[in-house]
Amino acid sequence: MEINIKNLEHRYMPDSPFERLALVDVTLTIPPHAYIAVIGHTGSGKSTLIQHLNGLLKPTKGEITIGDRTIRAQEKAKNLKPLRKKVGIVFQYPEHQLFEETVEKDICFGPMNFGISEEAAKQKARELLPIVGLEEDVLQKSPFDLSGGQMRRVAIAGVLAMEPEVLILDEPTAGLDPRGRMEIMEMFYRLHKEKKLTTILVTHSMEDAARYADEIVVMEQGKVFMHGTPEEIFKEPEAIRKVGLDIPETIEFIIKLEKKFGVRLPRHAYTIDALADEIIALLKKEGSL
Amino acid sequence: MAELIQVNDVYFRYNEDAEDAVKGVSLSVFSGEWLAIVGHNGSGKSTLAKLLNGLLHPYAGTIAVAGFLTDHEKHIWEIRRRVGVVFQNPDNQFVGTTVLDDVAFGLENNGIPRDEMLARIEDSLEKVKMTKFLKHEPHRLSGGQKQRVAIASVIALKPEIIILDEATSMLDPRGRKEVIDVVKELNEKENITIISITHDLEEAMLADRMIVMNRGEKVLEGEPAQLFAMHGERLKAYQLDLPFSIQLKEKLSERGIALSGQSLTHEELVDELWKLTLKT
Repeated sequence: MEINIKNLEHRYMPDSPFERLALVDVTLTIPPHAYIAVIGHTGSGKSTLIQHLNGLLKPTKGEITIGDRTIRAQEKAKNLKPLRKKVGIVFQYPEHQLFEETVEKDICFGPMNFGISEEAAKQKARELLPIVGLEEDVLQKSPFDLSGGQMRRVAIAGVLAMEPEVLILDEPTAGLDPRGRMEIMEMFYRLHKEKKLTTILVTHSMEDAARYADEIVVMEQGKVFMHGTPEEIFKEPEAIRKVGLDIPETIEFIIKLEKKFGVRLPRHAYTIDALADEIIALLKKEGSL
Repeated sequence: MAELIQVNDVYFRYNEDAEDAVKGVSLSVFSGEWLAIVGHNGSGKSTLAKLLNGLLHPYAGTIAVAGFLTDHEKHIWEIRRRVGVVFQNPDNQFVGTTVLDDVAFGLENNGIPRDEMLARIEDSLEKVKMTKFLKHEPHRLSGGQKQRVAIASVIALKPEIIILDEATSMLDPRGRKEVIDVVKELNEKENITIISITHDLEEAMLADRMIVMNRGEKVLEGEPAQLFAMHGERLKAYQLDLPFSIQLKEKLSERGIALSGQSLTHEELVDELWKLTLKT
């Protein structure tokens, strides 16, 4: 499912003293099955942008096309249910949205709202547990008796249960420890590949953006500041730093190597393993190996 | 250095049926040091933090802060006056409608005279570089700014010790750096003792000393650089991620390049690599 955003503008509370321009003339095409990272500082407009993708917010100018559905400014957006089924959003701290008595009921709530039978929804919940890394014995527990990390997995399962084609992740690993972060990011990447999803990751982490995304969109003050493959983006570290973002530590290190050795190196090592390979190649070229 | 906190064979559990969250821990915190207490989720590190200022009480063992015992009702205010805590979630620790009110709150509660209060507010906001935001609403600040205001509220009360309980874990990289820089300055210039509870070994690397917790027990203690070099495998087994430079050295040694254990920064590593090319 392709997503087309054309000249999108969003003003919060227009014509009031609290009016605030959050998005300015954003034009963006997200091809089907792409993994896109949207990165930007707090207040750069990234969360506002993603809320347009399933009709939670409406453009004040411009339009958005998601598959066969177009939402335009000045037009009433009716019957958004089919769109919301296709586009699943995992919000920041999704565990805050848990509310049911049992984990099973919580996971089943979404799909049943979209008209799936209780039996089928329960079946779905059981299938999803191993995917999000939970044991079957949590099903009858209260979600509030689980640890923070487990609660988050339940909330994610609740979104996946609706079988979205587009999955939007708003800082899905905020507040988790490094191990938990990696497990969750790897899980989403597996799902992205296996289910052929279109994935849009909103993140502060250039590391994650570089490692998983095909393309990175850098937002700044409501505008698209940069857009390209990770390698293209990291050719301009100064521009990235200027908007208060960091480049991945592996790339920082490569830039320091370039300076010391007086050479140009490729900037696509986003893991420490890849960086070590890059260093070995450099040392060989310099004749010290 | 003088011993400021003494933890003596402490046991704690959340209720009688539960497993011990802290098991037989003994440790000392010295005046003026930066101590990092690290561990995976559920290792007992946050429980330990709450024991240190008497928010929780052990069922066995004792904790003394500047000679005052935490389980002694009359001592608890002496202890809380000396120990300030900054918690994880920046949104859960604001009471005032402006930054000014918020920092004033603790001072008012302590009955500080108005003139001195104003001086202390100005002074503490300056130390965390938030003077410009005096009249701002706390909830409109960025995460890093919020945590710095929280630190200002704490230092306005002139504590000897600040406990940072995962205070940077919900921040973006820029916010994390802002907070760390402020903490470093408070430690170096004001000589405030810092106890940072964290699972981030990169952050722990900045500390003078590091204590590693696992399943409620203290399992390692020492200088960060030394622990990383000598006990890398164990730290990994405790589900902790080694700092970038240590990981890179490991990966390079797997590929036949052995670097010294000394270099911890990017620059030092790049220099060592550069020297390799000079030898031949």
